[in-house]
Amino acid sequence: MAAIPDLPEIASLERSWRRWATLLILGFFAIAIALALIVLPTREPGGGDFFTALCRALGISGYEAIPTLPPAATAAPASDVVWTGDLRRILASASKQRGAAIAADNCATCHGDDGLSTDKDQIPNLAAQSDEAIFKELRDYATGARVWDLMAAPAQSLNPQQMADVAAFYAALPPARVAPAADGVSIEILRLVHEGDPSRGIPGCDSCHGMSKSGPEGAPFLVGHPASYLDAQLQNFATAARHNDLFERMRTIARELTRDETHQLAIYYGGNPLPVYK
Amino acid sequence: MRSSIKRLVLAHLGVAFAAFAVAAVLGAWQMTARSPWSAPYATPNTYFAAVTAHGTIMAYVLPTLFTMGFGYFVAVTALDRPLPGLRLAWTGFWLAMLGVVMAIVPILLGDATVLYTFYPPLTASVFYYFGLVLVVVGSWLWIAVMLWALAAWKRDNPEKPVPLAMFATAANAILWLWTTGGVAVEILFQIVPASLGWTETIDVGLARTLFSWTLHPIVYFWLLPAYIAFYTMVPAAAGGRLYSDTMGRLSFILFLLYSLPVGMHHLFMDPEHGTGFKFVQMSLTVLVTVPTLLTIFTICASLEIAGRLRGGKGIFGWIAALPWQRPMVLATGLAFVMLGFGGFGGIINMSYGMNAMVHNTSWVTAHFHLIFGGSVVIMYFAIAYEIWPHVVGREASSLRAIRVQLWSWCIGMIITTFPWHVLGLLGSPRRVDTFDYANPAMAGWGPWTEVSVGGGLILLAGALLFVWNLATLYRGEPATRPMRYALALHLPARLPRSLNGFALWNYLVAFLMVAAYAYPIAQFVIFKDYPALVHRVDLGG
Repeated sequence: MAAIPDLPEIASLERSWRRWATLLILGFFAIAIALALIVLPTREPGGGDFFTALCRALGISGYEAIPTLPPAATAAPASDVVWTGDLRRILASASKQRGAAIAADNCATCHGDDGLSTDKDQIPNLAAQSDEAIFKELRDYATGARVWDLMAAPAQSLNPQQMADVAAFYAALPPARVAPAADGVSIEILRLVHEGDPSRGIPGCDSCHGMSKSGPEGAPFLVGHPASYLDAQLQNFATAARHNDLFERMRTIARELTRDETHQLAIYYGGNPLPVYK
Repeated sequence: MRSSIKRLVLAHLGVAFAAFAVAAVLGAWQMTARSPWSAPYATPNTYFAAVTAHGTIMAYVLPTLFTMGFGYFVAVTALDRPLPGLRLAWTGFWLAMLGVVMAIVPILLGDATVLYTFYPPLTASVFYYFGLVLVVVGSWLWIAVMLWALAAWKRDNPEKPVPLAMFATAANAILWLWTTGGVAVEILFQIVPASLGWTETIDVGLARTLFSWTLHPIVYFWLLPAYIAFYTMVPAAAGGRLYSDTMGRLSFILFLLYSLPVGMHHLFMDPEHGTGFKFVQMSLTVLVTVPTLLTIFTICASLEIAGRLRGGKGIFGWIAALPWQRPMVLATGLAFVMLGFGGFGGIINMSYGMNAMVHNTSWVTAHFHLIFGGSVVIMYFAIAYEIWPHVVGREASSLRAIRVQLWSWCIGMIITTFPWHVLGLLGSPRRVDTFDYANPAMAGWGPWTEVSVGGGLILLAGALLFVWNLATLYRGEPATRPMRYALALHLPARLPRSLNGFALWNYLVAFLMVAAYAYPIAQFVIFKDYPALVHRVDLGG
């Protein structure tokens, strides 16, 4: 730009600005990189060798700081249901009519023609349940992620489209006419339902299972399920006999609940019948 | 100053401040809505629409248009020559205007409740993003005009030092060009395809990383006009001289260098990155404190020169001798108080470990309101009061209403944000529209929130008084004095090219950006992706 050459002293000043600015910046960056990728990671407890520490600092999976690597046998995901766009399309395009036919042949004996349980200790209601929840459980029964002899065979006989059809059919049925049994349980239980217990790391049950449906996909509505069925499922989660909950969410929560809390929560969600007005 | 330039500056600043007044009303309403008192029309949807509008105006419209208008003013007055590319400048203005309207309409329709930081996989109406893109494109034309003006001046004044005000304005223009890169890529290649329904998933890890590239330097783009005022207007207003011109150049260069490769300090709690580059970018963030401290030292020294010239004696006597009745001096004092508190809070935010205590709490909201809303915006006020006579041709008839306005803004901001810091430490989350104050766990937050609402109402009064002052006070004597910037104690005679231009620093910024962001971005292409199903708020699900 400037046609006039720099005076010698200005040119020398410019050279030293360039040299020192570049050196300082590169030097500082090099120190930061060395600390971040090598020195600090290798000094962490359980830091491991140079390569492991470097990979961990770079966030490469498999090199996490606390290697809670489970034995290979239990390392499988809790469920293989992934809420992809394809799965959402299958659920959105499911047919209630096809679902009704499949349900009549395969499901109604236990779950009732109207989607209401015929054996309140073992069988949940399906009427007005979320289609995502029904699909997920069917799929988990089929893959063995959730284990119960009576459900394995019927679930394995269905392909994903048929599972979605059945889910759509039951989701559209009118729900059981019950309301949460708020006056049948203690104030502590109501607090668990609405707010959870932060001191035990328990979120409010309704934050996932309430009518706002604001929880993760596949979390079922609970109101109106038979209380004895709910009680049994919470026990199964607590003992890990049931383990198809992603990230062990329900196993973690259920372990923290006392026997009495489990029982009262089941009563709350089991609900009281609503009066029938004629 | 030619009337064509006056119209250009007035158009930018007029729109910026009108939008600012609207956003201030929304801010006061939002604070009431989340307090124990009730606010009219408060629902989650109206609340998040209001927060989106408040953030979009305060973060994109106000600072961008203000900086553009102020930049044109500086280019003409500091270089003392006509502005090249006037037509280009007006094109930029009208593009930005079109963008503002395009962005605001979907917000008002409730189709863009995604907040100004976007939060994919939420996506809004595509017009919201196109509107913001137009605002940015308009500001790119401003960059072109600023660099054109600088180059033309340098061509005609070889070897002469570029006036500091213009050097700093050019630094901000270059900083802004670097800054907008991340968000431009995020919007054009990730968010727009999602909001048009072309893609059903969006990689949130990549999107957050790209936005972090923009999210920190954008704050310094907002902030640099305040620093330009500190270095080039305040010493003159106080009746003294700038202590060091070189310190000013160095500070603006350091802001250019170290506001960019540091955005991952907004991602400390994010799982998509390992600890390594978070630590690297934290280390670089620490260096941003250097130009801030250099500035505080230099401006205090400059003010001391002014105070002693006015007869101030002893260690602190010069402070009392300063002309505090002058808006620019008063605003600087108040800005430094807010900058001090906000800066200490910021050091907690940027420390990898301590960040965990305050992450996602109202502490963070308090921090950026105190720094940007407080110390920076109060300097926007002071700059506007300073340049308004040159733009409208009349001096202010009284300074009293101006001082009341500046004090009310500072007091209001402190009363608003100090309780927010406490609430943050108590665990009160940000981005929440309402709290159940009947709950014992949250009941204790109520009184703090109520105090902050009081501060918010003072802020609202201060914002409206500012617009009122600009509209009504400037009816005094005809303004004939030329705009004068502060002279340095030792006037620079010849400068090395590195202190008179940006070539070296652009290379170093490029190196730092590649070094700090290449791996964190490349990892999403090489071996990681975090696809999340797009959630289109404009479709309601």
